[in-house]
Amino acid sequence: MNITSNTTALQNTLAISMRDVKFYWPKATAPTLNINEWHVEKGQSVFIYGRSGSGKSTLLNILAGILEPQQGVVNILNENIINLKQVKKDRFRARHMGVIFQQFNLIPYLSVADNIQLSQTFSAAKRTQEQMIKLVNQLGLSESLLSRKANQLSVGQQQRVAVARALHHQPEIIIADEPTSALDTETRDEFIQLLLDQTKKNNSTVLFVSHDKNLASYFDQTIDLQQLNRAI
Amino acid sequence: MLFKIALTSLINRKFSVFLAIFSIAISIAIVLSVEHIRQQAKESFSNTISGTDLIVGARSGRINLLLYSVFRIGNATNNISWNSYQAIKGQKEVSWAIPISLGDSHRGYRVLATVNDYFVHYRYRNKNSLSFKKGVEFDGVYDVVLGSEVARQLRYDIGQKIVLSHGVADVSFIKHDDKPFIVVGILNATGTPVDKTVHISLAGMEAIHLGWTNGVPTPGIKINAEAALNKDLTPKNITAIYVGLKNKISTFGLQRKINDTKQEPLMAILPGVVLSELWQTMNMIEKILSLIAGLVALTALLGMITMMLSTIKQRQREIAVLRAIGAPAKFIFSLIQLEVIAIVVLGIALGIGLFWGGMLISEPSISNIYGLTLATNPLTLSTGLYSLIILLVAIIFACLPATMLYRLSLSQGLTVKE
Repeated sequence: MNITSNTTALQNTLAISMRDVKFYWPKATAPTLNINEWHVEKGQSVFIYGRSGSGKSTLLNILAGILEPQQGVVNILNENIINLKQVKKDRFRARHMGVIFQQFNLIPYLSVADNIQLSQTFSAAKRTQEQMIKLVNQLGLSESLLSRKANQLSVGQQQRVAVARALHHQPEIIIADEPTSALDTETRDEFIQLLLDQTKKNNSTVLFVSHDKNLASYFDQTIDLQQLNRAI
Repeated sequence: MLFKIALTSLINRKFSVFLAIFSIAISIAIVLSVEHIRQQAKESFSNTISGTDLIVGARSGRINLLLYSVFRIGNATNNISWNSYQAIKGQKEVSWAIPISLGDSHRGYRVLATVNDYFVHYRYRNKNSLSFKKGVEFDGVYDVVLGSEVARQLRYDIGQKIVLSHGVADVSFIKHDDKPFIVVGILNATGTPVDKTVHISLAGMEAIHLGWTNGVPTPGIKINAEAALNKDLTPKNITAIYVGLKNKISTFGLQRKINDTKQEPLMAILPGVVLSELWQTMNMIEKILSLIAGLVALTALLGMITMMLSTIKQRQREIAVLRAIGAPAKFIFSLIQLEVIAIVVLGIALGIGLFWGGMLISEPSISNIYGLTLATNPLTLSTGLYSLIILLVAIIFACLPATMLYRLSLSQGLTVKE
C-alpha cells in the first residue's frame, strides 16, 4: 500500500476536512475565521464549544456552503464545495446536510408533516409516509401532531420536529446550532439523547455547537472554537 | 411544494391578502367598466342616426347642421324652402326624403315637426327603428308623439293636452296656447335625442304659426284652431331633410349635386362621417377616463406590493429555514412572485366577476331608461388584454420584494440577525 492510496483511504473516512481556510467579511482587513487544519471523521459526534463572537456562525455558514471563504479548501464528503456553483452548493446542502437551529426551525403556517417533508423536496430523497411516522414516533412525538400547524406546537415539540426534518432524508452530516438553548435542562438532556440515538442509527456525522460546556460529555469529541479559529 | 408553500403562506395572511385581492378586483372592475362604457358610448353615439344617407340643410358648418338636425343642439342658421325639398325628393337616386322643421319647444324639450314617414325610416344603432310604447303615429293636425324621456319626466300619458312654446328657451314668453296639442303616441326609449323630442306634424307646425310674420304674431290677426284647419297647411319652409338613397354608391354624387345647387345655398352631409368627426373632438374625455382607470389599477398594485414589503421582516426566519433545507435563492424569488401572481390572478378573476355581475344587474334598467342595450357579452379581447397588462405590471413590481428577499437569503445565511 503506497502513500497515495493511504491518503485516499484516509480521505474516504473523513466527513469534513478544512485546510488554510480564511474568511473575511467585506471591507474587513482581518479575517473573522482562520482555520489551519481541521478534520472530522465520518460517524463522529463533535461538540463545538464556542462563545458568541468566536466565529461559529461563520464556520457553520461556510460548512453549509452559504458563505464562501476567500482562501482555503473545504472538503465535505470528499468534495471541495468551494469549487461548486451556488446552485450546486444549495443542492449539496439539501442532499447531504440537515440543519437544526436554536429556535424557529419550522415554517409556521405549514403542517408538521409538510415541514418534515420539505427536506425531501430539495434533496430529491425518496422517503415514505411510514418512514416519517416511524421517525416521528422514535423522537417521542405523537403521530397525531403531523397534521397540526407547526406554530401550534410547544417549543420542545418544535425542536423535535426540527430533528425529524433534519434526519428524514438521511443526510450524512447534521449541523445543530445551539438547538437546546430554548429548552429546560430535563428536555435538553432527553433531546440530545434522542438526537444522538437517531444519528448513530444512520451513521451520520454530528456537529453540535453550543456555549454550554456541560453538554460536552454526550459527544465523541470536543473542539474549542477559540483554539481552532486562529483569528481570535 | 413551491405552490403549497405559496398557497399556505397566503392563507396564513388571509386578511391582508383578501384586502389586496379585493382592491385589485375593484380596480379591474373599474378599468373594465370605463373601457366598456367608453366603447358603448362611442358606438351608440356614432349610431345615433343610421340608415339616413344624407342630411340636407341650409349651408353652414357640417357639425352645426348635424348638431341641430340630429341632436337638437343649437339653431339652424337658415331654413330651406319647400321647393328645394320637392326637388331633392324628386331626384332619381332618392328613395325617401323626410322633411323636418324645428324651432319650437315644450317645457325645454324641442319640438320636431315631420311627416309620418319619419317613424318608418328613422334608424338608430344599425337597423333599429322607432317603436311605440303606447298609442299611434300622429294623424290629426294637433296630434303629438312624445319621446320616452319627455313622457317619463313630465309624466304625460295618452290624451294629455299640451301647449307648445315659441322658440327653444326653457322659459318662453310666447306660447301657442290658442292651439293646444293632444298626446296620441309615446315612443320606446332609444338612447338617442329622439327620447327628448316632441314630435308633431308639419301641418301642425304650420297651423300654430299662421298669421305670424318674422317670428312674432302679427297684431290684429287671430286665427283660431278650428279655422286654421281650413287653411292651406303646406309649409313654405323647413329646417332640414333626412335623405335615404336607393343605392349607397350615389351618395357622393348626390351630395355634390346638392352642395352645388344654384337656386338656394344648400348643404348635404353624411351623418356617419360627421358623427365620428364630432366624437373625435371629445376624445380628451375618453383619455382622462382611461387615465383615471389606469391610476386606480396602479394604486391597487402598489398597495399589494406595500403589503408584500411589510412582511419581509417577518419572513426572514422563514427564508432562513428554507435556505438551510437547501432551497436555492431563486426558489425564494419564485415564491414571492408566485404569491403576487396568485393575488393578482384572483383579483382579476374577482374583478371580472364584479364587472360582469354589475353589468347583468344594471343592464335591464339601463336599457329601460336610456334605451342603451349594452353588449350581451361584455368580455372582449380587450378584457384579456387589460388583465394581461395588469398581471405583467404586477410581476414587474413584485421584483422589488422578491429581489429584496432573494438578496437577504444570500447574505443573511442560516442565522437571522435580530
